[in-house]
Amino acid sequence: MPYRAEVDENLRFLILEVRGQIEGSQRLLQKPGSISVESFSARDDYIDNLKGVIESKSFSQIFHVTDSDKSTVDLMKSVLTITSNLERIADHAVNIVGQTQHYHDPSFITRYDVAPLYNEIYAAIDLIYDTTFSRDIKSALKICRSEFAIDDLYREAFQRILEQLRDGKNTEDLLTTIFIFRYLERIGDSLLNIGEAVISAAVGEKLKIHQYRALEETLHDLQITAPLSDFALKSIWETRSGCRIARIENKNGGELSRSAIFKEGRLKKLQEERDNIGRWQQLMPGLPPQVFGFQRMGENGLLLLEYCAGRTIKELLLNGTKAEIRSSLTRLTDTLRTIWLKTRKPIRSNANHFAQLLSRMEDVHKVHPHYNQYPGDQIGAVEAHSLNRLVEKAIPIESTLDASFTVFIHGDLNVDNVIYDGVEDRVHFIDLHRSTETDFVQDVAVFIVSIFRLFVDDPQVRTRLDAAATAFYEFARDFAREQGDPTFDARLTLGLIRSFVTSTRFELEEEFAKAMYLRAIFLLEKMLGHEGRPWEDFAVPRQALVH
Amino acid sequence: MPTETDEFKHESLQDCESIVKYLSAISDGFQNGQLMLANGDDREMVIRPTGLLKLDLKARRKDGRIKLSVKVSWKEQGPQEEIDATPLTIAHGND
Repeated sequence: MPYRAEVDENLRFLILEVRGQIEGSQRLLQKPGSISVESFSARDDYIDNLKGVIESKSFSQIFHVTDSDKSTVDLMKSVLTITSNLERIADHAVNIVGQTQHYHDPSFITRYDVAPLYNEIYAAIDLIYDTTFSRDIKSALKICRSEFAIDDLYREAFQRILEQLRDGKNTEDLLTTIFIFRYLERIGDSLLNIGEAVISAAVGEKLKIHQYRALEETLHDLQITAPLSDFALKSIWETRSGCRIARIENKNGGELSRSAIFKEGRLKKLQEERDNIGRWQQLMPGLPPQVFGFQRMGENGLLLLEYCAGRTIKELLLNGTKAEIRSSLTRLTDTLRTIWLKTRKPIRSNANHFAQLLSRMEDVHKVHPHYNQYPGDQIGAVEAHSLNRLVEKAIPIESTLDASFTVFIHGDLNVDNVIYDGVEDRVHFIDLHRSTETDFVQDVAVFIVSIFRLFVDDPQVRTRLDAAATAFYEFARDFAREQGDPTFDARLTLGLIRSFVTSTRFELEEEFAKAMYLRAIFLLEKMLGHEGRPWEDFAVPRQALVH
Repeated sequence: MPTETDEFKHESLQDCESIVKYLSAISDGFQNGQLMLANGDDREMVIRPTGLLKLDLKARRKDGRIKLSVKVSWKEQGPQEEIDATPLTIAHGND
């Protein structure tokens, strides 16, 4: 039996029962003593039962649904959310009834007009059944909006009760009344969840109403009039930087000819990204994604970006052919060279790798607390210092190692953030909120360590990754030589130390994290061992770049 | 002709004076990038320390006996890698 037919009747009954409970609570508020409290509990058990039936039917169906049947899975998810929220609404109704038992004056509540709140609730509940299966976003939005109306009514009542409390009379009955209104307000919260669940099922993606609105506005600004339900939202993932990303595709291949990515995150960060994209666009049109739209949502923002075709360098390194890897790296290094030359300014700069490292140490210690407990060792006359101690000793070195020029850097040039379009033979840079003018070794170090930290078992793939890291190093070193930059290796080593250490915070595999951590210590000891000699003579130990 | 082996083991009793010879021999092996180990005349193992060497040092005191173990491990640059050893070079751009 199709899923809908399985649960249709149960859901219909559940809605009716819940509505009945709410009506009962209203009657009791308006006519105290008119209904027995016991009858409420009995009906509540029935509601719990119905919820259980719908859940078990859904869970048993889940095993029969194939991946291609995504819309059934989406419907199932929304039915489950709707069911549990309906049950919660019924619980709130029971709680309201329970509160009436605390009144000293049972008719106290009749001084308040609860009808407008109840009317909002009924109007929303009556939309639930049809909306669940039709996935009609307009009705779903109406359900969501009831929450806002209920909130307003609650606030009004709350203010009034607060004023009355100041008189110091009927304190206990006033508090009971606040509780009752509070439960009505919580029914509104559950209605919002229900509306959002329907929207999710319709657009196939868990979407909150404020995101939905912002997205709708952005699409509207782009003069795209097709309803949002015509767009498929795909490949949602949480990034480490705390942005939520989803891809939007027009199902009908209509007006939005290109796919788009929407990113939700902190306003400031997304504004920075938008501004940096503008800068990159001027430097090299087409290198960053195009910005389709930007919306504020309080402290958060929503950025709608062009979806860049191609594969990330990471994916190519892991799964691409040797020829593909070669051409992507060639295009990437050519692009970097061009940008570096174009933005090169003879301004001394220092990437301050150690400051960056120290600011992330707390996060590193959260994941690997024992790193912080290592006090250093002594073996005969040899002293092996802790990382903290080595960093302390190396900080003065860094301050003598300024770069003699700046370039505009990506800021987070890891293998995930470069996309290679093999058809057009071009690269795209993404995730650009950290772009700035500084020493280019920062991008070089981040890129090399991002290759190192790819976790692979296959020795042949590993060899390929190591070769890519080495080749990238050689490219950057050649550029440095060409630019008359004799301290490149020493500065790069500082950057590698920083990236090896900070990368451990993303690595839960203990041995792998240790491989990076110990490399950082090795490099620090090498640098400290070189102190006193000219930094122009320091060469980065090549074996530390690879596994 | 001795045959190449992948395992070597040695046990003996030494005093503080004589053990230094062994430790120096090992030390020289690292210095020269090569250490030859042999069991008898026919089984030989040559190890070539290279790249990053992982050092694990352990000392333990238990029931009046001390155990000190020194472990050094590294990744061998073997012929197996040469299958794919044409280095990945990046062609220079024409900008």
